[in-house]
Amino acid sequence: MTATTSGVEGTSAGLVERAAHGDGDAFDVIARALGDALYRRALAILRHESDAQDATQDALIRAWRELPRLNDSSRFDAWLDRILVNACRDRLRRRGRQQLREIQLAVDGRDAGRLKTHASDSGPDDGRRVAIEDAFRRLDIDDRTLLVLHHLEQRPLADIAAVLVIPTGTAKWRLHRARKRLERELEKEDRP
Amino acid sequence: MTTRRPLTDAELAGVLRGESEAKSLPSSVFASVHSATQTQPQHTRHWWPAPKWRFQSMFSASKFVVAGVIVALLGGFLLTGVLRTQDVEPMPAASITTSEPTSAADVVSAFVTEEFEPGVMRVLSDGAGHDLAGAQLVDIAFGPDGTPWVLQSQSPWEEASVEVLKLGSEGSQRFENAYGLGGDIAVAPNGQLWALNLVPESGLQSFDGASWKDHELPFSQFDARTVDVTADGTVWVKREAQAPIPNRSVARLVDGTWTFLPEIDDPAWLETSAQVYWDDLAVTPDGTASLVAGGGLLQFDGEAWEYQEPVADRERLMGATAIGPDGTLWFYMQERRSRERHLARRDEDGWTIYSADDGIPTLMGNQVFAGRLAVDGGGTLWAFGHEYYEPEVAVSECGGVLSFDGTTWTQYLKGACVNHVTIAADGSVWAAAHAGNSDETLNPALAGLYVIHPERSGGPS
Repeated sequence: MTATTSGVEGTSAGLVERAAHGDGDAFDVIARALGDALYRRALAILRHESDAQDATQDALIRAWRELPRLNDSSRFDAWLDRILVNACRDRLRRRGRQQLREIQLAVDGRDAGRLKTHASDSGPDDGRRVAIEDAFRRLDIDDRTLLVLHHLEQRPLADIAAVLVIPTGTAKWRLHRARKRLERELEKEDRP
Repeated sequence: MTTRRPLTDAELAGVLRGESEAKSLPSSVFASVHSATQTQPQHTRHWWPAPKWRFQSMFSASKFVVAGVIVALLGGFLLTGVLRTQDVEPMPAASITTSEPTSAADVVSAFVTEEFEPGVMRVLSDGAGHDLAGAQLVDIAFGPDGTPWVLQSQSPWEEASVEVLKLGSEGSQRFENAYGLGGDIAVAPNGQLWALNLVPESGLQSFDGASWKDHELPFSQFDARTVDVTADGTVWVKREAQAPIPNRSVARLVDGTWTFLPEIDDPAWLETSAQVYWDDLAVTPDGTASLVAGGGLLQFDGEAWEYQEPVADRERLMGATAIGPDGTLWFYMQERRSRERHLARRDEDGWTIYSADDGIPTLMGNQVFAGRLAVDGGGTLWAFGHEYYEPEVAVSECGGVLSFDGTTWTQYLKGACVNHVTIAADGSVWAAAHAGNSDETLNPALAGLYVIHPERSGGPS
């Protein structure tokens, strides 16, 4: 089993089978191997550290409980990715509601936990980065997921389609649309 | 041309990456997961057929097998039928290169047409009766034998709905491309079709009459905008890239190898600090590339760039460039500050600059129109487009086709969302229209194929 920054690859079918039959230790091994990659993916999508941690934890626990229903262990990686994306979706919904409630309380601490862009990269591009970051945050979860899987992790479209459970052609079009939406949002940022 | 800075893949990836590369999942999360594996029960695995399946009792095991066989046979029969109707009609390879040259008029004479407006024929169906009225057309190109090819997208918003039609007087040949959304097509001198596509990830495909072949682009398929094939068979792909790097904006495929245009090192041009965009550059069939940017005209002769002459001051924003077969060059530009529109024409008599006082239509302010130009054999400019995708910042209107001969502006197909215009060898102007993309412009009734004969239009509208 290998875990890469670009995704989870080739999780051992034997481990998955053992975990699916209730072997908690086997699932712990899987979680240890894939946890960081899943967390980084959630972080890239949600842009919020504690939300990403919660989403990753939710996804792993959900995977543990649902694993016996996975009939084809060779599809574990894409299946786990789907669970993670759904967990991110849940977190984003909760975050939206939470912000509505907390808006009177949050002043200085409003952005606590938000993912920072490269702090070491100072200079004229900082404003641009913030603009892109803010534009990205205005996208919905599916658009964010598409852009992260394609532009950050450089996953093939077929993989992206498998994660989102849509045909490859639809993934292609939605990716194109997500990019356009991001550019539109960025244009609003650029506008004086 | 827009003034905003395009978002690059590298920029986007850098922002998405942020600080996440250095992040690890806290041990507390692993502890929670471990706790769950020790305490939380897993769902029970249900093997098919599930025990609660309500119809299970209706079938004994043998009945189940028989039913399965029947379903499989029926499914196979239906599937065969579906595949038959969707099968790609193979085009004999020989027909690509041995077709006798024909003219657009010959092809049109076999079509069912109607006069749409003075000088404009609408193609209702091809020689075999295939309906073209209302067809969502994305692009049109002519083969070496004069045969028009059109790229049709049943629905530009959905997957796997693209097909290429080779329109012939004996009927059309249809070639489906299961990969979906098409962008731009060109037909090579040997009859080979080239198509830009977002999928597969190679971004570029060729079709030899029997099969499609992928060609890996040297940049993201999402940046590719146009494909052209010059007389020597070189494939040119223009990229919507960040300037000022013209050498990275245009890639040429020669004998299976991609090369970029060399850098412009002319001091006079470099002083301008110009930004170069894909639509600043026009390629003629002989392989000469002309670029209007940075206040000057440059030409690439296949080996190096040569600065020709200045054409505008540096404060002007350049727009699209197009060249006709007689060498007449047009480009559209806007003043950087005032946004005043200008058109420039260069022919054997030199430059002529046209301003708003010369009647440049407001529609030319639509960035799509400004970026889509063609020049016919008589040196007349043709501008076309549908709508800009951002109605808040640009004219959102399907304006059909505009022509300007240096004296008179004429508008054809008003209200049609024209996606592409190509000039046929006989001088007729072919327009491919689709239904439009936004609520403001949607006009499916005008989608389809049109042939404009300007000499029959009876004067300007």
